[in-house]
Amino acid sequence: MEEAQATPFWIVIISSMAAVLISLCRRAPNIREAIIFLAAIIKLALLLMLVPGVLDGKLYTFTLINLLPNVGLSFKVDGAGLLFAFVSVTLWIPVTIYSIGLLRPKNDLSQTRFYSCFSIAISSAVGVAFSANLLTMFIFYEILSLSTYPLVTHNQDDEAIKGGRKYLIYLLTTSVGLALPAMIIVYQQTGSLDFMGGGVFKDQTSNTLLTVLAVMFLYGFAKAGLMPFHAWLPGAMVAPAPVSSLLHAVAVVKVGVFSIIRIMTGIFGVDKLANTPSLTMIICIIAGITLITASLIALSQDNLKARLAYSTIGQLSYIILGVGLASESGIAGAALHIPMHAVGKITLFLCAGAIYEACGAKYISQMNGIGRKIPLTMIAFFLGSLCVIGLPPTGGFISKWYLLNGTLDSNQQWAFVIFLISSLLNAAYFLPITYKAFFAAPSDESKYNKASEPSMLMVIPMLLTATGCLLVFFFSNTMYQFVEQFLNVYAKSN
Amino acid sequence: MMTGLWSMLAQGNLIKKCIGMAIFQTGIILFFISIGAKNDALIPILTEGANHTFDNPNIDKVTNPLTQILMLTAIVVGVATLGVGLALAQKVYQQHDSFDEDEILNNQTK
Amino acid sequence: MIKHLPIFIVLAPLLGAVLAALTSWYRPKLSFPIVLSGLFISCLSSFCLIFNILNSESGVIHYQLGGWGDKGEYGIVGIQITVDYLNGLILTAVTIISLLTAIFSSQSVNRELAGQQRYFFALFSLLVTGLLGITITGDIFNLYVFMEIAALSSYALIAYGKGRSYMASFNYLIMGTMGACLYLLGVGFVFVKTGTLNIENLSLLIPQTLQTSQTVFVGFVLIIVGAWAKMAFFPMHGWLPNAYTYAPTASGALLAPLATKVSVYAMIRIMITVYSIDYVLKSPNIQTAALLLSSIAILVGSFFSLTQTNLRKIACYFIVSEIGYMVGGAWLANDPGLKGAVYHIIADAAMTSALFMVIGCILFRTGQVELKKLDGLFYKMPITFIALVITMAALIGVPPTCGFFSKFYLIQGAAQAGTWHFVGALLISSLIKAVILFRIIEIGYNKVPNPAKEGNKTIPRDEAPISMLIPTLIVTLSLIALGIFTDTLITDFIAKALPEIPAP
Repeated sequence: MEEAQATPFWIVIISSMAAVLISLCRRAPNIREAIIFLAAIIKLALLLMLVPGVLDGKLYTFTLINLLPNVGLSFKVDGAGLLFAFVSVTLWIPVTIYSIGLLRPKNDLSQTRFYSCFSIAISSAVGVAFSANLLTMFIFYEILSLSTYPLVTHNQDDEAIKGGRKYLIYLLTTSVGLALPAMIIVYQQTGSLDFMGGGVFKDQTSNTLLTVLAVMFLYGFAKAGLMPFHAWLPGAMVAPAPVSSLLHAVAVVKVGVFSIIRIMTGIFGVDKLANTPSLTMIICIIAGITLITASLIALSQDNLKARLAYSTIGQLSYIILGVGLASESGIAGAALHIPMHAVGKITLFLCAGAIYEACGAKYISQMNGIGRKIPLTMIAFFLGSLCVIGLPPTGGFISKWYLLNGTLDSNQQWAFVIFLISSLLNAAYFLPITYKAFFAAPSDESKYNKASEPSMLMVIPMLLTATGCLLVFFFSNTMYQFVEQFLNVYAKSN
Repeated sequence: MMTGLWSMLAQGNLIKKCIGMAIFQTGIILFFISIGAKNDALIPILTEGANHTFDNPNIDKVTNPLTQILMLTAIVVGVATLGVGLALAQKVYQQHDSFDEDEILNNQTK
Repeated sequence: MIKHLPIFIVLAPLLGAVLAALTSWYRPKLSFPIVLSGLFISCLSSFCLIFNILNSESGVIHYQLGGWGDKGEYGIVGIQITVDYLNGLILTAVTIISLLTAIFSSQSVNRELAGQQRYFFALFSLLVTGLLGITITGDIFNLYVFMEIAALSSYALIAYGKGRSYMASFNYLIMGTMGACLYLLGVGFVFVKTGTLNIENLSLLIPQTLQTSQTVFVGFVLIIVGAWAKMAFFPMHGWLPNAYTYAPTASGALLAPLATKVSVYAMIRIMITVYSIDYVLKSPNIQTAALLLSSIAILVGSFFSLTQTNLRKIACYFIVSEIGYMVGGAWLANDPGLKGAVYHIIADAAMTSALFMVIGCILFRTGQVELKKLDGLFYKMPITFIALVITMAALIGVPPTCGFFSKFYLIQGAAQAGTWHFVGALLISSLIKAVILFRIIEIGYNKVPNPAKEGNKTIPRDEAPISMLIPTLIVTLSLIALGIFTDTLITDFIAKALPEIPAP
């Protein structure tokens, strides 16, 4: 059931329009930030308008303009896209509050640029979520890379420039060098770039070509952080905390994995995946290696943000491994893991920023005993880490449940083992932080005497997202309905 | 023609390059004229003695006028090019006191 | 009136040039408005023409100079002007860009060439005449004449730059004349066999009856090599970087986008109309060589641009590599490749024009375009800097700019033909351009000038004058507009301009 409607387009464009307004209100910070909230609320309201229809099984489509014969700048809203868009827009609000709390007291000179780039980034993330074909997705993907570059280099010192350089080189090299040719080959082979249930390839397409294309896409969308194209992610952690949290826990990296989910289900097709063992094998191996390696590296990191970054790389591979399983519950788990991990990780990143602001501590070894000084922050941190590890009653449990189910459905017991090992590793690198913060004696008693909770504008968003970790557990059934609609379109077509 | 082309490309002296250019162009002009030429033919102008009229020309007895017209244009173009080329060479000479390509290059990079 | 539209396009700038030179004796200030109005009339008539073509059934408009015409069994006699979708599109692009460049250059010419404006603008107009003539003519000898008109005026325009520009211009003259002579020689060979110079006549004769003729083949090779020399195709590209770097700002801004592209058009016209695609496909040796050379041209241009420190030189080497795109696309000789090549002529004319205009703006304000000295450019000239970034993004091929779509078609064509080295060259050149963009951003944007770091909120703005800024912005925004309307451009114009090529 497809229905043409311009709402998806407006949802995408509204925060870009906000960006223009924001850049005009350089001298009136209050109006500037009011615009952001207004845009976020309008966006959210428009998203909510689409919810009943999508749950009814409708697909909202809209074509703005034809770019190439047969391929337009078009949007299509389905369950997974809506869920992803919903998560990014919802989390935009607490992060904005947090950024106000963080940047305003510092009299940061480039706040206006920060907020406008942020809005454009949200626009393009939602654009990726709503893309109806590969070309549209690629366009928004590139806009996202470019618009987040000023955010990564926000501090404009040498370290930031270095991180930013790495960021752009990794992302542009892979997308231009791998994803673009892969896309053109798909277009040349099939004459279409639309995401369709069952894929676009004809039956006689050779397995070798499919496998090569799959690998090109996996690495081409380097935002998904698959090894060895993951190094931009730790490098980009020089960005201010709100950027790391929203972009590198939610928008940017999730856009990467979301693109891969879309391509695997919409271009290759689930049936094709399931019937081509070489294809799933290569996806699973790449993801599995990244999963374990990243978790091990995370364990050895002392810098809190770097540990979080490597943990993100590992968690992204969960999602890709879920797709690689090519079973219904595997894909459901992958799609669900996007929001679940997003809330968890965003809480962790916000907390890392808050810890740094409150105590000046960047390294985990400096964090002994700080829990007593900043209890609220550390409690939020604890909830966030529970969610990422996947323990009830937090959302991460649900998505991991589906993922584990998926391994059994597709008879890949080794993947089951990998998931379990990795979860144990997650626990091993997250839980000690909270434990030491509360119970270990501070190494240097006098150092943190004056430390106290950061401003309320920063604490409240953290608590909000931490509560979110719990809420997604209890509302997981609603979320599954979105995913089910998505599965109905893509996975159950035949 | 080949002489002209060779001296255009291989000679280091700017004036020799210009001369080569002129030779090359003259070669092409002759080539075109030779296309239009015929045995025993006269210039393509109506005269009393040539035994033909405007409406019924004796085609065997005149050379092809088209190539000649084309070459008139080509000569004009060639002269203009040569003029510009020599003027530029003179300017270069004023600057560097030399026509030699290598010397000029040395001067410039100094 | 409508009937005579095609000739107006060429005549208006020609008259403009002559009048500007004549009136300048007693009213030097008149020359600029005269040239401008000539270009404007030309621009207007090209617009009318393209609408006429869209409305006409055949999609071709003929115009006979001096009342000659179709003489039955002799074919078409006299010089004919032929406008179809292909050159209609390019005519429009040339007239628009030259008009904008004229507006753009008035300020910089006043500064750089004080006292010589009138001659400069007369030559400027003459150059446009030559370029339009190459595009519009339906006669291969006439094409040569216009080629030389354009070339002669461009030698002079470049030599206005003083200093090293004399030598650069001389080298250009030698290379350009060689190219033109080879072209003329080729025309001679073709004439021997066919007895006609009219493109339409030739297109009836050669593909059908003279497929195997050695003479015609030699003519083909000579014409193509001549055109390559004119467009600075590898390995005959040596003259271009110096010539365009040391030329005055305004000459560079006019020559860089148009001169080479028009030669590419001439090559494509010879390939697809005079000789037909079949003919091209049946000479596989040249095809392989041309594709290989294009790949090398792209790589050489890109790598040399990486080693340069002067933004203008970098831009010049970009042209060398972009020429490789177009020649390669044309020689792929399949549907997407040719579409990509023709689309890229338009797109690259706009991109190069934008790039040179931006460089002109920076030169006008700061007096140099050394990459290292551009620090903090964003804070001094924010609009110019944003235009520079958009242009670079288009050159890299970031969607939704036009550079992306031309690359899309070219890669698709190369994939269809199985020419993987061309795909690789395209991608590598994109990446190299990306590296240069990073460098520009890092220097111009992230190296904040001192007042900003000390908490001083007012960083002195020093934006280019409005008469330079507006043309720059129009061209820059057109890069995005072209990208968005790719589909219209391809299906409504370019697809109709090209002969049907069956997919293999």
